[in-house]
Parts: sequence; structure tokens; C-alpha cells
Amino acid sequence: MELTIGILLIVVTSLFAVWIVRLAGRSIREFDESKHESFLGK
Amino acid sequence: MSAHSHNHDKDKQDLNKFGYAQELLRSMGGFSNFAISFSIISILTGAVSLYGHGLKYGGPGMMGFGWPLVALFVMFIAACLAELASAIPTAGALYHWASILKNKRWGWYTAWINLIGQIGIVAGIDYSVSIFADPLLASAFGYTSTLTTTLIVFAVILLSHGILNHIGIKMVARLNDFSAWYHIAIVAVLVLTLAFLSKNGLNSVDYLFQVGQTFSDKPYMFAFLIGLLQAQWTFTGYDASAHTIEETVNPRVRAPWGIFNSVAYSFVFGFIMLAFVTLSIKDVAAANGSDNAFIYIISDALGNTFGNVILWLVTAAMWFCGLSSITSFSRMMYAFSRDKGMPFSGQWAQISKKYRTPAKAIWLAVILSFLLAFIDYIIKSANPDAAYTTIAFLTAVSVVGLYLAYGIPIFLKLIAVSQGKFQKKHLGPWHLGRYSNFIAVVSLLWIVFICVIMVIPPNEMAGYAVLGMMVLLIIMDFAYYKKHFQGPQAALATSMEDILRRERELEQGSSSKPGVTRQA
Repeated sequence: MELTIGILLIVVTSLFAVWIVRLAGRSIREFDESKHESFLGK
Repeated sequence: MSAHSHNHDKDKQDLNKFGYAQELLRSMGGFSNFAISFSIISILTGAVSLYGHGLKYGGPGMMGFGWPLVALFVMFIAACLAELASAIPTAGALYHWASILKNKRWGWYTAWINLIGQIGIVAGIDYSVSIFADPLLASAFGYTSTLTTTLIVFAVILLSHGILNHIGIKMVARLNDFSAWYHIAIVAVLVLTLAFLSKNGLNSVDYLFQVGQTFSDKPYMFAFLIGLLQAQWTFTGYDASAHTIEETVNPRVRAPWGIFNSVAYSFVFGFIMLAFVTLSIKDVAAANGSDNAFIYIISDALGNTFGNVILWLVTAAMWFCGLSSITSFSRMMYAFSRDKGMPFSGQWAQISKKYRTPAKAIWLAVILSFLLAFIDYIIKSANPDAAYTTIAFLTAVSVVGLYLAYGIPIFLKLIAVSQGKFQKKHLGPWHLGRYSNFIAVVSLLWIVFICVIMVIPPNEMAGYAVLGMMVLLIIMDFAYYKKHFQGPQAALATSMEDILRRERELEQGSSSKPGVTRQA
């Protein structure tokens, strides 16, 4: 039982990492510099 | 125009928009930026030096469950910080983000809390090197390792890191690159030798996930939570990729990847290493009863001679980790001083004419880190029966300081988004899209949880230390902040003419004066 939960936890953690990498990768590809504005806190 | 020079000009212009000149040498590539955070996380430092702590409180299950659990939530936090680094690419990072997301007072507190954490992390890392190096040196040269000899070794290690950082970012960047590969190589050597050369063979995989066994006097679940310090401290310092962002080419993409990937890769390689070390345990009670559980397990599995070789290799990895952490710490202080956030800011913001490094900030980082360990040395000398260990104290201080400093800008960005102040157009190329707020909320919940866990007994000394420093901060708020701190917003008033003049001066090597001349 502990072994199954442990492996599941490792799989979930790995899948989360992959998901973030895909999410950020897509945002970089779709980034439009012309629409960007530096946040200066003004 | 080459791609490189185009990027360099664009990066400089992005920085100029925040009112800062390009003072530091921008030469780090994507791998170097990743390498500095990967080297500071250093699975061969945190996970190894606190291996005994984790084993004592959580037993073998701490490695099987604790490591991936902490890694999962740290990846939430790293993703949030990466998003912020992409949007606001300045070396001040956490404190700069807090300043412009809310106001300069939030930024000032964030900076000082971050600074407290940075002192703890540098001291903790170099103290880790010394608690491994000192017994190894003692057995090689025939002296007895004591608290005093450990402190002397610690001072020498800090000194070596100060000198190398002073000499130049190019050399440190090369060493960081080497360090990243070195870490992976040493983990591979360790895993392969344990897999094939262990005298005792390996336990079955079930052993790694065995829960319920603790060598503390606490109930298991509570002890398990205390043991999380091992993984939680390991996963600190990845904000270094943001602190070196003004030295990174194409920083709005490379620094966020550096932050996130350093955590993700550390999770993978760290887990593999911890799994094999734990599966090599023959007598867990004896390992726990030894002075250093990691050294005991390696020596028991591989024999003293071969075990010592492995331990020297691990100690060298820790040394690289300390080298990178001084780089990160000094850049944070340089950026904060550039905005006059510290007493004698003019000194700490100076750039060495010859090496283009913040030389005085580097040496201040060395001195402050030594002082923290030295104060603990005095307390431990006066009270040798103290229940806590120096390494647990230093690491808990750094976890609380750093994670509070990570949490503040994440929280402020949530607020700024809800108020419509921070909008989609402000996001950098690396962002989390519609999941950004959800990931931020989970991150904040974990930060609150972990900060509480890190300061409850037996780590209450760390809580007192952080509390004491917070009181000092409040006093400094009245004594220094109001009179001197201009905040990063003040830099926005700097004219482009002044910024470009400052850059020309540095190109010609004619000035080391701090920051740019600001308009009244």
C-alpha cells in the first residue's frame, strides 16, 4: 500500500513538472512583444 | 547585427526601462543561469548534510515520501517566481517585485527578510562543507574534529568563496557550469557504486516507503513534518537565477527556465540519489546513532577507503554550492544597496573597476555568514548540551527567511491582479496563463505551512532568531528606512542620458561609483 502511494506521489510530481514546462513553453511561443508593457508599478 | 548583440541590446534596453544602467557584465547563457540555481539547491549539500535529520525524524519513509512531497509544492512556488522574473527582470528580484507590486515599504521588508534567509543559506551551506571536510581532514592529518576546528574550516571555505567571487563572474559562471555537471556526475557515481559495489547489497524498494519509524521522541506524523526540513532546505536558493538576471543574456526567458528547471531536475536527481543511499542502509538504528548518518551509511556500504573517496567528492560538490550562493547573496545586496536600502549602501553598491563584480557586497556576504555561525558557536560552547544542532539552526533560519521572501511578492502579485493593477500585458514571455492565480494560492498555503513547521521545537531557536531579526527590522524601519530608502521606484526618475553616461563610464573603466546619478 505504501509503495503504491509513494509511486503515485512521484508520478504526480513528475507530471506536474511536465505540465508546467508545456504551459510555459506554449506561452513563450505565443508571446507577442508588441502587446507587452513593462510593469513599472506606476 | 548578430543574434547575440541584438539580444544584448534588447536586454539592456529592458533594464534601462526600470531606470538602471547595465553595470554588471551580461555574459551568462541559459545553462549558466540554470547552473547557478542548480548548484545552490545542490542535492549533494542539503539532502546529504540533513540526511541524518530526515532519517532521525521520518525514518526511511522520509526519503520516499518527504522528498517528492516537498518537491511538488516547491515547483508551485518556483513556477510563480519564474513568472515574476520574466515580467520584471531585475537583480533585486523579490524585493524589487514587492516594491513595485505594492510599495517601497513592502519591498524593504522583503529585502531584509530575504537577506536574513541568504545569510542563513550561505552559512548553512558552508557549514555543511565544513562538517564533512573537517572529519575527513581530521582523519587524514590525525587531529580531533571539534566545534572549533569545524568553525576554522568553515572560515577558510568562506574565504575561498569570497576570493573567487571577487575575481570575476566569468570564472564563477564557468565554475557554476562545471558544478552542475559535477553534481550529476557525482550522483551517478554514488548511485552506480551503491548499486553494484555495496558490500551489504540493497534493501527491497518497499523499504524506501516504510513509514511509522522515528528515532525521535515525537509521534510519527509530527516527527515526519519536522523531518521535512531536509528536503525543504535543499530546495532553497533557486531565486539565484533571478538575482543574476542582469548578467544573463535573454533573461526574460532564460532566468525563469533557470528557476523552474533547477527545481525540477533537482527533484529527479535528488530522488534517485536518496533512494539508493536509503536502500543501502543495513542498520538504520546504528546509522541514526552515528555522528553523521550519511557518512556512516556510505562507509558501511563501500568500506572506509572507497567511502572516503566518495565523501570527498560529495564535499567538493558542497563547496561549489557555497560558491554559487555567495554570488547570489552579493547580487541581492548590490541591487538593494543600489536603491539605498542598507546602511552604508554606497559601499555595497560599488562595482569593482577591474572585475565588474560587486566586490564589497561579496565580502559583506562572507562576514555576515561567518557571524551567524560564530554566534551559534558561542551559544553552543556556553551550552554544550543544547538539543538543536548548528546545521538545523542555520538551515531553519534560511528556510523561513527565504520562503517568507518568496511568498511576499507572490501574495502581492495576486493582490495586484485582483485590483487590475497587474494585467496580462505586463506578463513576460514565461507565464502560467489562466492557472497563475491557482498556482499562487497553493504556493502561499505551502509557504505558511512550512514556515510554521520550521520554527516549532526542536527548531525553536530558529524561530527566536528570525523573530529577533524581525524586531531589529522594525527598529531599523524607524531609524533608517524613512530617512534613506528611496525604493526602486526612485530609479524611474533617472534620465536616459544619465543611464547611458553611467554605462559609458563602466565600459571605459573610469568609475566604480555605485548606481547612476539620480535626479533630485
